[in-house]
Amino acid sequence: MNRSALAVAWLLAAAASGLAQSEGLALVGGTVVTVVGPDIADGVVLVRDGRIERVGRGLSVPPGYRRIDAAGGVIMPGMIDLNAYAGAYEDLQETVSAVTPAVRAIDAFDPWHPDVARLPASGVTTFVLAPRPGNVIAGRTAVLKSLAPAPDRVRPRVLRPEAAFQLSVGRAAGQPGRPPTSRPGVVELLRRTLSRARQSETAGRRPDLVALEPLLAGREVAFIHVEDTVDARAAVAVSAEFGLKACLVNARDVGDAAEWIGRSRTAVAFGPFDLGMLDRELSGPARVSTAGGRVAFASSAPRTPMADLRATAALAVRYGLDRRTALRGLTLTAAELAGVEDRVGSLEPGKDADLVVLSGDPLELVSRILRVVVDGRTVYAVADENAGSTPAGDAVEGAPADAKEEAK
Amino acid sequence: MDSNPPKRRSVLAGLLVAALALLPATAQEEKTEGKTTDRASEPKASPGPPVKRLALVGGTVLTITGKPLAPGAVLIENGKIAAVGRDLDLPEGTEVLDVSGRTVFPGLIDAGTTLGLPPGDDTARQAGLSVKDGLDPFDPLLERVLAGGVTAALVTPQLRSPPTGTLASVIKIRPGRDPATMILADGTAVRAAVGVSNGTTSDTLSRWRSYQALERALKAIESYTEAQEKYRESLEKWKKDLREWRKKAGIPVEDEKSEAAVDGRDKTKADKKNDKKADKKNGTKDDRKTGKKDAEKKASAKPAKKKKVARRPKKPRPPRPDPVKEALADALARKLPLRIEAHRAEDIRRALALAREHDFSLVLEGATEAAAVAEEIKQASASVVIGPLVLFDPRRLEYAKFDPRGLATLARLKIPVALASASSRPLAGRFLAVAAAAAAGHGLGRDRALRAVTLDAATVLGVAKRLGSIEVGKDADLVIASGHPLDTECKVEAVLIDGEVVHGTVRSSAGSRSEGKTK
Repeated sequence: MNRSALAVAWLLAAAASGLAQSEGLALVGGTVVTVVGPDIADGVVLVRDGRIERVGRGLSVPPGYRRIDAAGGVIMPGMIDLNAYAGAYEDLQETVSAVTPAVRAIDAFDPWHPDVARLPASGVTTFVLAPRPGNVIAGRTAVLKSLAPAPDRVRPRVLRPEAAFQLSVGRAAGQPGRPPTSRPGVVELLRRTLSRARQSETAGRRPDLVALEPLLAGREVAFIHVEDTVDARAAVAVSAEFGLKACLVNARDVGDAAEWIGRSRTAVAFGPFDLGMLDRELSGPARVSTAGGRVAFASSAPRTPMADLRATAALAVRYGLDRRTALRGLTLTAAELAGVEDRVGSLEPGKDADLVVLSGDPLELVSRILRVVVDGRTVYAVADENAGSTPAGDAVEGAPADAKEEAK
Repeated sequence: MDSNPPKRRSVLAGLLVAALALLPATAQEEKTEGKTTDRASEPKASPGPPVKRLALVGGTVLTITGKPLAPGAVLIENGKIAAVGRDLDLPEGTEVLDVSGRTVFPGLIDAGTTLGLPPGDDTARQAGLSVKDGLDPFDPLLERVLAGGVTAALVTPQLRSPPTGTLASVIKIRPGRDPATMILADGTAVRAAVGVSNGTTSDTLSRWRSYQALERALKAIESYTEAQEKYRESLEKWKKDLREWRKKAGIPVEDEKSEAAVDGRDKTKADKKNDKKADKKNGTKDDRKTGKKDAEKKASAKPAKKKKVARRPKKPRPPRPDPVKEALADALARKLPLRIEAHRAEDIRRALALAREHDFSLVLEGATEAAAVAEEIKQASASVVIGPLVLFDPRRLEYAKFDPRGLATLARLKIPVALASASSRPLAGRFLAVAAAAAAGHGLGRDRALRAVTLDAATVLGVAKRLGSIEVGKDADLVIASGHPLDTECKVEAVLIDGEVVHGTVRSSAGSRSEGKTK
């Protein structure tokens, strides 16, 4: 059903692309961080029809391509936020039951919401819209581009309307008023639900449990909301029991569980980090990475200001996370976890032209985001004398966030 | 060290000086240099100990006011910066610390925090709380914030000020010290708010109300100062009257007994009390009930005893003191800046309007949407304190329209910007440099972001004469770190306050440390 919807969207987009400008774009100069290969000093990125055409050094710019000078700066893939509520914060929890696997976050998504248009300002071009973690099995996440709607959109904004499952262990899922109300109660309910769903004859009578099939078959990742070590341990244990591909999200204080996480090859999406955190919490990414766990990041925007994603990664680096791992966590690792690595996450020919141009190293917070491109279109650009290499007259798609504020 | 005599003990100090002066001038005459008078709060300015000299040599020195010196040297004499330069001739006896491969910069200044004060629900606190009474010098967070290179902060009991004002003081972060000596400038700021939400709701009506509350408070200050003025005048008048009265009564000096005798108050207070009790028993109440006037009563009770002289003039009653109103009055007299927290453009405008109307020097706190009204802020020559750190603090309603590009506008217009950690978790203060880096990346620019936590912060807090840059004559509050303070992996290795190492160690050996990614 959803696949067909997607196909229709694609067809419409394809029809629209006929009239959309197929203007090429060339980002010239600067260090190109491809993520998959070594950085290219003084590189060029060619973009056509919303996709990356070529990446390399000394490429000549074909005629008709609009040139954007990025000299002295850094060109990197758009960042991917593994947990955000942009466009649907208020309405992302089904509070009646603690097990709602068939609930889809995409059904609450408002593409006109100003929070969506604000995401690119922090360099985030793709985000995972997740049901809120108040339920043990909260439902399906969606993977979206941070783009405001436009009539001549070349490519669909929704990368995956039904992506990873959002699960939750720990206190967040234990709520007064309905079971479960405690941490062990949460874990028990998760186990019970998963084992029922595994027994097909039981599940057959429960359509909501049938919905869990892609999770149990290992086709979808389980995004498990955890807060601390106790949660992390439970999440890792349950994932191992049921063979789930797990990614712990919103992890803050899981450093002490690094061994378990690493041994089980579990991924962790850290964040949002803030400045009030303790050393133990901030060193979590480094410890998990050292122990063998994959590391990515999540902002929970707009509950927190959206600059958090890069700041979270920078804090992780300050506390010992390897820079390359951090950069990959912001891009390709996150794309893999969201199941969209064929489209985004690195600068490779054929992938979506989602780019961020910064004034310097992305993991230095002093570096400024100068330009953000999604599907080959500039959606955010700074325009003042401090910005350096931004040519004037390059319109930013969509109205700025300010103008749309009243939409909320 | 028992140096650093606080100002409020100047009376005692004065007595001491007087006593010393009475002694035959002997050994004390060595090295006073006449400094004691105008630099009362200067550490080690008291006569006696020899000059203590310390030099940091070989590192990159970020002076803030000028270009970085690489390598540069800083000479410290008795806790003050005595010389800065590429090459210094060091006097004999100078202790030399080799800081090659490291960066030396002035101690960072947090323009707003609750650090050192007891944690708690800040909205429940009284507006008039004085920082010096609540400051806990043994708060373990002090040590940790200091370890982040932060040496001074504006401390306030309430992060969210009530609209009508609260007090704040500038402290030096010297853990374990007598709170009185930690405070650099007491009650140097008064904070108010316009349109700040209580965290959950923020409607136009409540924002309008909060503006009105502040407006009323400011108007009330006029009557408050008037009352004070009146009191002062009547006090003068009373003193004069009293002198005359004494002359008439023939009392040469103050003498309560004889005055009381003349005045018909020949009973002591205790006697009066007994009298009152007796009165009660004897049915004075009934008299009152019957409506007898006091004067009548007195006349009947004490028939024209001593009527030769008029009654002793009554001392005027002082108006009820209110520390917040006092500070607001100082702000209106332009002795202090008034800091107003306002986030939305329209609330900032209201604050600017108040500043115009009442002619005070305005510091905007928070100022999330400052960019939208930047020109007006510039015109009013107001400064801006960015914080709570919008880049990291959980979302508040006021941040809805935060546009990171706004900081660039403030930078372009050269509006002074200081950074405050202003977090509900004061530990966040240790990452002031990280916040500055983020502010830089959001358009404030590297240099101005660094100034926002050093010299510009000092200026906004009114302590720029002593802090904020590496300049001759300023306090030697310095940080020695592995690199530029705004670098992601910058590590603070040692912190000096008043020329003393208060955190970390400075190794005197040369050799650059390997750039390992530890911790």
